[in-house]
Formats: sequence, C-alpha cells, structure tokens
Amino acid sequence: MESAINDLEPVPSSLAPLTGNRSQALAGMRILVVDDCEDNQFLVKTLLTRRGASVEIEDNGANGASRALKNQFDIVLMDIQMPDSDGYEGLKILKNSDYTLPVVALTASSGLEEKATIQNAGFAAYLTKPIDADHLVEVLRGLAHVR
Amino acid sequence: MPIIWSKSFVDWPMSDKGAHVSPAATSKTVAARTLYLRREEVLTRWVERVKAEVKTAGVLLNPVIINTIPLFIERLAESICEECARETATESSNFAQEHGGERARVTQYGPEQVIQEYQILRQVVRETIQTVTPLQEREEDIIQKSFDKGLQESMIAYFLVHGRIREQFVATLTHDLRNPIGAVKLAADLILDELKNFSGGESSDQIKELAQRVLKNSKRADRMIQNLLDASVVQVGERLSINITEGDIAQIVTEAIGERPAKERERLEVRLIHVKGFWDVEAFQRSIENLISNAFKYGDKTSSITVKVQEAHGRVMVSVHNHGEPIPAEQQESLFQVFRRAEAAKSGSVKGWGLGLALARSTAERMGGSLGVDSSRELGTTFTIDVPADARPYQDAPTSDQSGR
Repeated sequence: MESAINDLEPVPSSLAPLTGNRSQALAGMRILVVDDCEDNQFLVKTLLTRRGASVEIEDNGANGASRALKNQFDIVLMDIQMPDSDGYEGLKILKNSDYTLPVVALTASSGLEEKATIQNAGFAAYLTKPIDADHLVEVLRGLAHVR
Repeated sequence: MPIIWSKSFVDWPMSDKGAHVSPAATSKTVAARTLYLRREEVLTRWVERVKAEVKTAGVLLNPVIINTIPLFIERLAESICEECARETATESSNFAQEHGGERARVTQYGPEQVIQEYQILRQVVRETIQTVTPLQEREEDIIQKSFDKGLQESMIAYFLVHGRIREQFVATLTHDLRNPIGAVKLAADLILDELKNFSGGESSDQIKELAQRVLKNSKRADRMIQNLLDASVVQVGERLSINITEGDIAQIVTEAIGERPAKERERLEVRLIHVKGFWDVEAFQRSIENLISNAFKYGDKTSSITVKVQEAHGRVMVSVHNHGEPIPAEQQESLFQVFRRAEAAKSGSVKGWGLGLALARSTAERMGGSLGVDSSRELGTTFTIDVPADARPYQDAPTSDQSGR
C-alpha cells in the first residue's frame, strides 16, 4: 500500500480505465464514510452503493474510529473538518489502536499548510472537495487493489 | 464610570532621575503637572466625546474604548516634564500599535475613526492644560510630535491587523463555500450517472431526490454569498437595503426551521403564535435561521433548543434558547462584530465566518428593533430579536453602525 500512495499527491489514476459494468467497480468493498454533512453522507453513500460497495455512515472522527475498530472496513473515508471531533482526531484514535487499514482524508481546503498536516498525520491518501465521482471511485479501487 | 489606570501610573515611583520621575512631584513645567493631576478628567472627557462623536464608538464597552489610552496620557505627561528622559509619548513602547491593532479588530471601525479619536484626545489634552496655564512652544511641539507618532504607529498596526483578518476571512469563506458547491457537483454527477442506466420509476425517484439536493445546496451557496455582500456593506458602514412586505411570523419562523437539517429539527421545541406584520421577511428569516444554527453549534449537544414567538404592545419577540456553556459577559458585545469569529474559527473546529450575528443585529435595527443576548450557566443562552409588528415607519431609523452621523 505504501508504495503506491504514500507521497499523498491528490491521487492520479494509475489504473486502466474501467471497462464493462461500471456500476460494480467497488463490488464487495465495505466502506465507512465519516462526514458531518448530511448531504455529503447521502451523496457519497449513493455513489459508492451504486458501484457495488456496502456503506456505513458516522458523523465525527471519534464515532467513526470506534465503528471502524468494531467492524474492520476495507476503507474509511474521513472528512477533516467536523464539529466535536475532527478527522485528525479520528485517525489518531485509530493509529493509537494499531489500526492498519487505509484511511482516506477528504478536505475542502486545498492549501499547502493543510496538505502538509494531512501528510504528517498518516492518511493513506487525500482527496479535495468538490469530489469528482469517477476519481473517488478510482482512488478507492486503487487502495483496495494495492492492499 | 470607574477608570482603571495602569498600575505603573498609579505607583509612579518617586525617584530623582530617569524616566520615572513623577511630574507631579518634581516637574518645573506646570503643564506636565496639570496633565498628570487631571488625567482622570482627560480620560473621562475623551471617552464621553468619542462615544458621542465617533461613528460606531457608541456601542463599544468602556474597556474596549479606553484600551491603551491611559498609558498614552501617562507617557505624554512624562514627555512634557523636563526632567524625564522621554522625547515623545510613544518612544520605546508599543501601545500605539496595540491601540491600532485593537481598533482593526473592532468591526465597523475604520481608519477615519482612529484618526478622529486621536484628534479628540489632542483637543482634550490641550484644553485641559490651558485651563491652568498657556502652553509653551516646547510643550506644543512635544504634544504635536507625540500625537503624530502615536497616530502613525496606530495606523500601521491597524492596516496590518486588518489585512490579516481579511485573509482569514477569505480563507474561511472559500472553504465554507466549497461544501454546498461540492454537493451540487456530486449530485449533478449522480444524476447524469443515473440517466446512463435509466431504469424507469426507481431512477426517476433517485433523480428527483438528487435534484432537490442540487436546489437546496445552490440556495445555501447563494445565501452565503448574500450574507457576504451584506457584510461588506455593513463593514463600510453603509445601509443595507430593506424590503418590507407583509408576512406572518409563524410562517417566517417555520421556513427558517425548514432550512435546518432533519437531525436538528428533531431537537427543536417550537412555540409559535400567528402575528401578521410588516418586515423585511427574507432578512428576518435569515436572522432567525442564523440564531438557530448558532444554538446547535455552540449549545449543549443533547438537550433541546427552544424557539419561541411572543407578542406584546405591538412588538414581536422571537427568541432562541439553548443550554450549555454560557457566553462570558465580556464577550457578549464582540459577538456582534463582523469578522470577529474569523479569528476564533481558525483555532476551533466550529465553522463560521462571524457574519451571522452582526447581520442579524443590523437587520433587527433596520426594522426598528434590537437583537440582545442573555447568558448564564443556570438559565442557558437566549438570543432575542425584538421588532415592532409594523416595521414600515422605521425603515430609515439609524442603526448602531451609524450612530453619531
């Protein structure tokens, strides 16, 4: 996993374009979406479910971490800015519990400062909002693939 | 009005050399002695005149107004005193910068107001001394230099701080706007995706749901932009335009609540009565929505939030109450200042630009009303908008950002 994504560039697609039944690109994957915004929860869940993933939702970092520790997900998609407990806190709880599965950061800011912070925190990859549907699916597939 | 002088001034040491010789005890110049002995009088007169004459100063609390000015008067007396080794009042100190920086953090305080404050102080200082003794050329010169220097330093700091606040503001703003715009984009992506695999009824339902999200989030982005435009108007002290139409307060409150997420609505206790009146219906609704949104952001996360409408003597009161940490008294006024929260937002995880309350107050005032806050640990926090049922006669009433004009 490290070799493919650990430079934390917004991940370019290194995979061949999807062919065939697009809607099953994430078939069988279990994904946890951690986001405080109800619209994002609904939209990301709709997208990932259509691509065949099974999706669960939490609304802040600490809640997300405790759910991920209970049921191992193939990927946790973690928003950064959330009230009460943000994405960094969620990741920290997971790291402290020796959680090793990929956690992907999702952030609305594209500043260099934020990028460095995300990089140092130890996320497997990061994506900036607005989310591009195809790009998100490719990143998730890529992470599942290298694992 | 109790004035708290800096400790160093009260305890001005009585030594026979250096900068800290009390002019009252040793000065050969009557002017320095006069300024020192009448320092409280100078400050009191200055505060009175600033509050009366400087636009927007009327709403500030005394400690905010007074700021570093006692120190300036102290140093000015030292400068005039011949035995003191101080050339101007601002020499080797940074309080003029502090003053300018603080003024930049105060909403609606422009460079014009900072200059005016210094002009008033100079007048008060000169008048006070001249009631006792005419000013010598040397003293006039020192006063002139001190004020020039103080004003210059204040202005430099003012613009530095102002620039930083604006930068933070723009950063927060662009960040927050990305959320609704991101949702619009993703929802549109999903609509197109669904159309590619269109499967009749189920697809239509999905598309309808997604289109509603597009609509809701584009409205949200639009409201943010509207708030921003309003704020830049308030910031330069101009009047927001007002559009008064007939409305029913129960409906206005209901629509404000409808803008909040379902999860929040579950925790709302709403007590409505129908009152028909004349208000800026849209701005009123935005204000109420903002108060509700704040209650969820800052209030206790589990207890209920109460929205209540009352009517008395031709006035309508809309209050929003939450339990939780009280707002400290000294912060209650600064809450209403534009951009103030941008600074706090940087450190905290609470989202917001600090525009909402400033705009809500401005809206209430434009309708001849007010927006107040009451906060204690026992009773929780209540924001109350109090406006006349018919705002038409108040369309041109002055607001707190225009007092003194």
